[in-house]
Amino acid sequence: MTYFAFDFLERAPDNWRPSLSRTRALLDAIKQSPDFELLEAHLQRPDASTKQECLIVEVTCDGVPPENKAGIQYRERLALIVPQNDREYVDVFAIRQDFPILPHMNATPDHFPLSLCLYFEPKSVVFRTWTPQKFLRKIQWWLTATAREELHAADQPVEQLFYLTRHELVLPWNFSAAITLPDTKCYVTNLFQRPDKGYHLTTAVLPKNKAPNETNASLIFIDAPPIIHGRVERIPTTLDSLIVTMARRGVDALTLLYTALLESMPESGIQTGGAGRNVVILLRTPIVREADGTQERLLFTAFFLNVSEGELGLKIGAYITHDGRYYAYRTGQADTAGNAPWKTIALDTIDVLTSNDRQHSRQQSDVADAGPNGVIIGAGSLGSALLNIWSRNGWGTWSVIDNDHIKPHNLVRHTAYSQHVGQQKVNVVASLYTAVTQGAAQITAINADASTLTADVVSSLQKSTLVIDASASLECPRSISKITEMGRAVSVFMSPDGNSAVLLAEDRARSIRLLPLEGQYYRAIINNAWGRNHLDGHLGTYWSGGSCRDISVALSYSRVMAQAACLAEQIQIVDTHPDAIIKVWRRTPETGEVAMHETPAHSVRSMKYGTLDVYIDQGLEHKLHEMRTEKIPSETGGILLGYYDLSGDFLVIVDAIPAPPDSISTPTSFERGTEGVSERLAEVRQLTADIVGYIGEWHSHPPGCPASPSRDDLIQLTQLALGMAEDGLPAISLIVAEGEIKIYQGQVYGRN
Amino acid sequence: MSHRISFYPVGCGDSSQIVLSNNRRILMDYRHQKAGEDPESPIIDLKSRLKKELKDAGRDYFDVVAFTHADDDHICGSTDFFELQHAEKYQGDGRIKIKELWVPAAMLLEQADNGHQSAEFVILRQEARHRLLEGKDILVFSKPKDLKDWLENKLKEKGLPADARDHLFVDAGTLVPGFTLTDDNVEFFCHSPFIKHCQDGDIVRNDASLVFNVRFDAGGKKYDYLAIGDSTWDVLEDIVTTTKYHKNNDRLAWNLFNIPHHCSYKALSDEKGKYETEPKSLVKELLLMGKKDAYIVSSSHPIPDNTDAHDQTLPPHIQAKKSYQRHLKEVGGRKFLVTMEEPNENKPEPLVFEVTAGGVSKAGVALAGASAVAISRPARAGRSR
Repeated sequence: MTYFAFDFLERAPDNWRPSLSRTRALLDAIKQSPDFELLEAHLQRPDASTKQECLIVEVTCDGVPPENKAGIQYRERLALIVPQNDREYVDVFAIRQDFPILPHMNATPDHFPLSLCLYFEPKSVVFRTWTPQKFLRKIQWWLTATAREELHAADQPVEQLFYLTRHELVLPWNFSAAITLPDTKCYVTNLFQRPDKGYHLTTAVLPKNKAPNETNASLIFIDAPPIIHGRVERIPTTLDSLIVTMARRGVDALTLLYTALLESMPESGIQTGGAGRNVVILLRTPIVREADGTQERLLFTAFFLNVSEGELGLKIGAYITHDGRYYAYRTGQADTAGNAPWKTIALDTIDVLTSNDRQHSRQQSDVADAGPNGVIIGAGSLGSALLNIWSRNGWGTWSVIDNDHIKPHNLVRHTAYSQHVGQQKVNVVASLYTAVTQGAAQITAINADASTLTADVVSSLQKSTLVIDASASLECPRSISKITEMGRAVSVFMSPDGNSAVLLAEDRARSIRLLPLEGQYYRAIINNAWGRNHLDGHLGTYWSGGSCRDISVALSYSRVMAQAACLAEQIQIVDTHPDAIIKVWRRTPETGEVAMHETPAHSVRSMKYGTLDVYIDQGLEHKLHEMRTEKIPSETGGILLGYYDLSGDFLVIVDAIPAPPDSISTPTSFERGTEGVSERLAEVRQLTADIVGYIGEWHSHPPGCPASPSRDDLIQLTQLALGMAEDGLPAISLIVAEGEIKIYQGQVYGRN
Repeated sequence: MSHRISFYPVGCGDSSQIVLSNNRRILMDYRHQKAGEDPESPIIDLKSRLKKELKDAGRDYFDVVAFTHADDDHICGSTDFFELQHAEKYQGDGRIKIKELWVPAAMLLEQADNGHQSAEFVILRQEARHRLLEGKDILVFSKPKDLKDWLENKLKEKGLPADARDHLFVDAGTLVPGFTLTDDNVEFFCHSPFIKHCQDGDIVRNDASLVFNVRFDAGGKKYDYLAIGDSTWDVLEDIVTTTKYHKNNDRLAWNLFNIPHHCSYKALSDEKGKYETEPKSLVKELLLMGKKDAYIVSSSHPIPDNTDAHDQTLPPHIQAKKSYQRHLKEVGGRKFLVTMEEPNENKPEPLVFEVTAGGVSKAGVALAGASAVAISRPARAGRSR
């Protein structure tokens, strides 16, 4: 076994006592450890500028399998180099000459021993818990876990051809597709040095006639033939060592580079002595499995060369100079002489990162499916927040409908930035979406009022599989509810105080639509404890229509984001379930606690009275039957609650209130009392933001009697109709009999 | 796809378990001591430990329990722990079942000397005889004449032919039925008890313990574990001679070696030696059959290296340890480990080896520091009166 000699350090005398406190502590820990043995110590020569001390140790690791593939041995010799600066790591070098090159090593020059990369966390974190004992165990952990092939950090590929560097090159998400298009080329569009001294290079694949003007590095792309999955290589420091390394893996990189240089040289040549641009070599290598030759993945590596493209071509023998210009020199072969000038060109390895395409975004977000081809109505506070989430996790392909623009105060609760003020909201969310996806997905922006159902709007709705109403209005969900051959519709909104999020979802077959779901949501508000303050702060008394979904109080964007985050996830879940849903999440801002309230969604019956559609759901019908049965043999009844939409020409029957206590009820008659009715009505109006009110009466018929109106019933209906006519509305009388419910409408015509 | 071999810290005694990659479990010897039930004792509470392991694995049985021989330090407490088929009073009440019992023929015979006539031995003998006569759930290693005579009489009483139980006997030099490299990734080659070929005819060494070469297959690679109960140097020499005679030399190689008789010098030689025991030549040969990176395990108390230790009569013997260590180093082996020393003498834990495609290594990383302190029982605190 041969080992690296540390002859640049001075051998410490036998009675040596380390001068660094960390070395002393480490020495004590080594003496206590049954698995570590000190062989010798070295110290810096007196003339060195910084002080460091070095302990040569042997460590045994009982968890190392004797015949591990990594090539780690039971007993390994290490050099522990302790720097004077306490805020620097103690470096660990494996000094066996044939120690294998493995993942998780720090880059060291060719002639120097390999250095173990023990920590994944930043130094500041490591030093908060660092003790020499734990450090020694960490070394054993590294050796053991590597030998057992258990050492994979989540963010690093299992195998890299070359190990880590600080320089990064970012490829566009569609690199592989775009580079195959004719007359395209990969350009470095941005290059700068980060504060940690690493270089950052942004690239783009562009048509050759749209080359960026002033690029600070020219990129040579080489598509190498496949290589077999294998060991990690040492970092090349010269062009020669790169070519030699690649040759060892069966790739003639020199010829590939030579050919690429010839191809990139225009007929007219290029001027010599121009701007001193550097060359970046980008290498794409398919990695294949040894066993069956199937491709595992594409490996990208890049190298930064400190020469211009012209100088490189000249040194390789691909170019000649003439009259101050470089020209292609087609001899058919690169200069392979032993002392060819290109061999000594220094290079730096660059880590190649690829921008996410949608699939990668989903994988990294743990989102299983691609999501719907969807439409979002409303690019306001909630809509923009949902799109922000989905732009990042890759769920769905979106069209967005909105006709509003950004005003200065919108920035308080919108994803827009100040430069967007005055712009249409759809265009703003579309450009923010692209800013995240870099074009891997785009939003179709439709600048329109969704509730007016223009041809544009209808056609986009009909093309979709999921329509999300985030308009915070009443009219949108009500009008889209009537469109046939449209994707399933979901309505999401926040309560006026921002503390609740509401989700109403049609079933996948659209047999229960948004319009009647709205009515069932109001019945839930009226009848449940959570509904008591659900719509608190609504502006119903001053405004008409829709105000229950407008944020009415001063509240922070954090509250919108909390609700948007909840709804974004819930919509993703809804999309995978077929049933209609009514759910409310109530958040208590003081504690951050969230409670979910689910209301069953019932199927719906609709009837036409002239042009008016009347909706009643099975939940209410069931309730009516129960109230009737309870009072048999007597009749019973009470007031009916609901709301009209005269633009939409419909009435939704929301609820039926049981008989007031002063009602007179016999087996053949029912006379509704008045006790508490006015208070209850006022309460219902308050709870539902003035939307739900009195629409008529209901009463039951005894067993054996059909749900057709008696003479008394007709008289009553006439009376009701005359009363309701004062509001310009018809009256409703509902009769519940054994197994049937019938609804009668009374309307006054031509009173004047 | 890995097998595990555990050695339990039971003082100077034996208890080890093989858990195969297919989850079959082979327990070799059982020594539970009352002392182990005291949390402050370094000796393991074997009964609770094994019950917990089985419970975690969702089982109430071992596939095999092998008693290498009937000395107290290899069977102690077994008749309280296992369910015995021959009498109802040893059944139920959470007792652990033995699907197949492996015993040397000597355990069925009465001619054992007085030292072997413990109450538990008598009960186990009854159990072994019962199983043999019932014709199931047992394998008996070697077939001496005394046992043959006794069995044939009993079979005649039952009206059965003399060879009715022959399939339950295993001879040295053969593979134990029931485990194959194909189905279980393991095979047991029986070294002992064996028939010694002498000029005066064959002698069955009935005083010898069960000795196996356990060969594991892990990911297509084969690794050998030499499991020896209590044996003396002359028995080992006989094993080496016989095995070589039959050209089964590969069965003497070892990646893991459970040394005999708690590191007694008598397993190496009849001479203890002042500082180090010099093994007899054939025993030395066996020691040098160790592979690179092999381990040696001594099921014994800690083995200190001091003046008192050198004069000690009872095993473990420091002179023997030094001999094992020297030979282990010579073959490029790893460590000589003592069950009562790992990871420390105050509270030893089972010593677990893992057999993977990469070979035999110690399983898991031993806990140290805070994590070890937290799971161990601290010394008593509080104001003493």
